[in-house]
Amino acid sequence: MFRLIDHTGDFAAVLIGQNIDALLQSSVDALLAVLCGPKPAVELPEHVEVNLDAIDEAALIVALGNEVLFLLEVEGFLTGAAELLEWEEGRATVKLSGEGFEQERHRIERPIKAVTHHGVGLEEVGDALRYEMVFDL
Amino acid sequence: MSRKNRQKKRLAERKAQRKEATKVHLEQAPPPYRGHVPLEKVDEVRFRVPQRGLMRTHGMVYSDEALLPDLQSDRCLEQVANVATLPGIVGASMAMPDIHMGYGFPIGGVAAFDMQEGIVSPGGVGYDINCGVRLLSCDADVGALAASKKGKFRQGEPSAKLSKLTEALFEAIPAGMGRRRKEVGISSDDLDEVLEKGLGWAFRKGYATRDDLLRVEEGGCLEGAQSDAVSQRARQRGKGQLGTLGSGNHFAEVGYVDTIYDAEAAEAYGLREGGLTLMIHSGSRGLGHQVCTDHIQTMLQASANYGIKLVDRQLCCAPIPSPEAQAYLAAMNGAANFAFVNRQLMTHFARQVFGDVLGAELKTVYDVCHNIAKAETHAFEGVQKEVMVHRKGATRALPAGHSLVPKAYRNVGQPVVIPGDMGRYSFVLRGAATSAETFGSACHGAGRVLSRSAAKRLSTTGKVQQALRAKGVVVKGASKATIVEEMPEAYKDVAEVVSVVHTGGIAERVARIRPLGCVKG
Repeated sequence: MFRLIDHTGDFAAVLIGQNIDALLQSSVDALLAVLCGPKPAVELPEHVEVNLDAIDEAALIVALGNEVLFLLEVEGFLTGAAELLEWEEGRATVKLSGEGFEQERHRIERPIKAVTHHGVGLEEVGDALRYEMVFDL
Repeated sequence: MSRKNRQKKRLAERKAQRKEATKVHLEQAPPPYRGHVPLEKVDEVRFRVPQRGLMRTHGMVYSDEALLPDLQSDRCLEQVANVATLPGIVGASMAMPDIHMGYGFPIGGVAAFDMQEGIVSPGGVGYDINCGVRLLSCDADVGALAASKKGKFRQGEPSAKLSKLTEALFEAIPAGMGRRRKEVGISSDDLDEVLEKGLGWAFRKGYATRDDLLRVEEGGCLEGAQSDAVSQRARQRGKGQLGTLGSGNHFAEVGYVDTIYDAEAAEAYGLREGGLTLMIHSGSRGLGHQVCTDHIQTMLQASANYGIKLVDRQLCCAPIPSPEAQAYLAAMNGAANFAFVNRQLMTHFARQVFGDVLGAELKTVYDVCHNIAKAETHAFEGVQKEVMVHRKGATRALPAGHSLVPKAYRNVGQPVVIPGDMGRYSFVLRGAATSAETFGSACHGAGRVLSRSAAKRLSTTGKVQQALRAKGVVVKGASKATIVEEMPEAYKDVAEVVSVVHTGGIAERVARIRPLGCVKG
């Protein structure tokens, strides 16, 4: 799950999840909410596997976000779901599911330049993980 | 082994793998301040953040009593303190009066680093490398936009001519995400040249005049750019984006000079009362964003390798002489040159629009970087010293006589262009002598005071457009969300911001510009 929070210059979201898999999906959901508004309708007929360099969970969340933005801008692929397949020696393989971007159906409300590494990193809150994600608009 | 057991084993292996993968290599240090940050008043416009914890120096915030309450409402002062923890910082970690919360550095942050002991940080430049602003003056006066040929221009209901001009600019300058410019064919060789030569390429291709080159920071080309330092992914993201505005707070705005404060400087800059202007605010687009993304990845590892304690990962960095820093600078300079060309191409197409609609010409007044790291020589404690100045949402503001000020302006100082918001005004200043204490830097805009969500809660796009129209301002936006999020009330009053740098002797008022027509991303 995620919650968008106020940030004077840009946009931020708090992600909460039981594990890294849940946080990764929440990060995709938050990204979509900023990009396309509160209830984006993204179908998942297409899949792509990406390799990401990440030294830890926080870095993986940021790397995934930036990959999603890259795919949208360069390939026109709008990601709706992410699944971590493998993560070894700082290199993760993630399966992304989504569909081709269509201007009419997926109207971009607020383009994002990047997902930043800003903040204190991943925190444990009770038995859940919490991560604050700041977007550069 | 049963299927269930195999699955169990696989899950256990995966868990172990992740444990290995998530070993923390990067030391996260405690930030000097969390929450309230004390400010000690030095004088009317200078406030010191006391040195504490890992801070290597104090912070210095340029502000005044009117602007101060906003500073404690977000975490920007913590960010000023965080920057002061970086190795090799020279002088204070500074914040200009338009400071607000960013990521890593605050927006409005300025910090200089020793060329041997210091660092370079992509987070101190930002994702939109050389986001900057260009001001152009027009040979037509605001009367050309009056409702009738005989009528005098009056600020109020926009004329059909103004609507036509704004509409034509909106068509000529692609704005918003995914908008590309197809008519400028950029080959791979062209892109190499753009990255390494900046405006030299634009001049050779006929998109820039010789006069333009003389009126752009560093002549529109940062030395040391290497096209092969820019990744293929960055090149892919930048493809087709030269000559496009982008989104967020980027804009192209028609205005007119309504007040002259300094006749000598205004004349040197080609600004006269009633004269039309065009301001273009944009950066290095996807190419720059990707350069920053690529190198932050490298710098996270570099920070660990060089034993640099980070209080915020976005401040990841490497010693300036290191290969990681040199690779970043080579790519960053290329992205900066890309941004100079981006603004130049928009200038080229805007010139066509002004010619078609008004039969008028546009001349570049000046073009400055807002997000950059540059090796510059400044007087520090009475000695000329070369330092790596990071400006993150700040403008260079060199005084009269400085060798880097274009000859045409050397007697009055470098033009400092400070956009305000869509409804009020913008300012042109000139760099003044006291800017030596800020390593030749001043504010870059009004600075946000409301978050985008708060702005959206206050109004709607329609209401914002209506209110601006009542003031005589036409707004065209690629995204409806952007217009409401960029409403005038979301920003500080830029007159108050400018007053701080004027009072502090950093940059002095030359002219004020009123907005008329605005194209937003």
